[in-house]
Amino acid sequence: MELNNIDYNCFIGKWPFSWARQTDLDKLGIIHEAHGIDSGYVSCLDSVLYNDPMEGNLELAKFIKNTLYEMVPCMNPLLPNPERDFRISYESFDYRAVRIMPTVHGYDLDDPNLLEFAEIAASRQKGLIVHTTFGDPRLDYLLLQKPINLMKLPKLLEKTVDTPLLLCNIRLNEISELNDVLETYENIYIDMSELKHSMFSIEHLKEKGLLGRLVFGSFYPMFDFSGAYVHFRGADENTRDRILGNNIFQRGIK
Amino acid sequence: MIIDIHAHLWGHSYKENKIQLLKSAELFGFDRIYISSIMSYDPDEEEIDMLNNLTLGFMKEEPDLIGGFVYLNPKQSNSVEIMNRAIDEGMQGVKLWVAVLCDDERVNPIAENCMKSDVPMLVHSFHKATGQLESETVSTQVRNLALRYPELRIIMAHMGGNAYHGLRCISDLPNVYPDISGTPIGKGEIDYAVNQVGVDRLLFGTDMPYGGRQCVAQVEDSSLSEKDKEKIYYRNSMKVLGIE
Repeated sequence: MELNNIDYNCFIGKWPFSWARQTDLDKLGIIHEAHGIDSGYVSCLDSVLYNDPMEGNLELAKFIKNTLYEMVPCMNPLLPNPERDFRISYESFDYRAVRIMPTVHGYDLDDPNLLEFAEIAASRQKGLIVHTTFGDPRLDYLLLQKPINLMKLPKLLEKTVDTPLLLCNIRLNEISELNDVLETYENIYIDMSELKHSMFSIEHLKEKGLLGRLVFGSFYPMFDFSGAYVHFRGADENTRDRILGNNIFQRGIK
Repeated sequence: MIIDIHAHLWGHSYKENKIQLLKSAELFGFDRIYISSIMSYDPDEEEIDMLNNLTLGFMKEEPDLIGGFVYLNPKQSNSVEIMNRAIDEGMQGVKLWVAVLCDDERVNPIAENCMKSDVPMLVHSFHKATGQLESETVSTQVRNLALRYPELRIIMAHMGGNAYHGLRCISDLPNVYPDISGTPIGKGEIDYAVNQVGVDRLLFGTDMPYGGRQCVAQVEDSSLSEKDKEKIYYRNSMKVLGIE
């Protein structure tokens, strides 16, 4: 089924450091429906901090099955035998992309384990969703994130040239620094969840000709849902529809 | 009605910032925006003078929309003099940033003059897990200042940076008013803040042009009643500014 408006950066489950940062599929569906979002690429929030993320992925899959939502397993490329997670995922649920959190799991974008992992994902024609941060690193005193160097992104992109790579939680100034990379690689996309740090970000990206690379991502329930959606205020309807309907993982991906 | 208690012009980009603030006011229905102009961390007298003139200039250009807070560097001995001049010209509060910690004794004459002039002091406060600037205030220093001057109305910027870290320090201090400006947009933080300090002390602010739009979203996504949202959007700020 071809979906229209999509949230590429959403989770269900619980974040253990805050009582409020939790949701279930029903609540997510209600908030999406209220904002005209038809579906989402949803992952298990608990999985992010599980020793074996597949435990959470398999639980989430039970809820996602037979809904309009797309299952996105969280994975940690530093764990041995990454092929195993792709195999279990293939046997257990339909999925088009996998989600990784380098700042949480502690590796950079040129880590050999990640490059091997990316090769496996590409060989299986799965897109890669990469969180450049997992919430504002300045604020989280319980889970210190390891910063990544976005200038190393081309190393990763060399492994994924035929599959989409989505950068989530990236800031506008970081997008600007990646200008050459964005020009060189057409398979790289960015989400809206961290555009809050700048004003009129959509207008800026439109001027730069990057609207086709922009997708909607709320980072809900880590962020208030409207934190990203509010950026549409002032944008014309065509722009909003183009971003919400930018269906990057349904093009040539298994 | 919406009052933005915390916005800026940056000295190096003030022309662009003015346009951004005016456009945002139109888009989001901000009725009044209180600005201070800032640039370097430890400004000299010449820079302070230049920045406060930017604020005054914008106030004069947009008198119905723009109000001003005078930016001071407490290291400078003539801060009270600068403050008095600014208040005479219509500014309605004092802004301290990162030149000194807010409980530094050099802040005392300014604090005492705020009380004498019946204006609030807006204090940058941001706890960073990734490391503080040398003289960057966190909520513990706000607490020290508030206890030293119980009659001083203090606006604690950004809810202390991280609401969970910052608000616990000032929850029992009725003269400290956290603003929600800046980057924090974690789900549920407004509800958490109201639980910690009550709904009568939380102020709406954006920190424009450094982001800002998400602050509207935070209030809208909270579980507060419309009446309580009104308090955050403007009623509490009117109280702090003494314009009830």
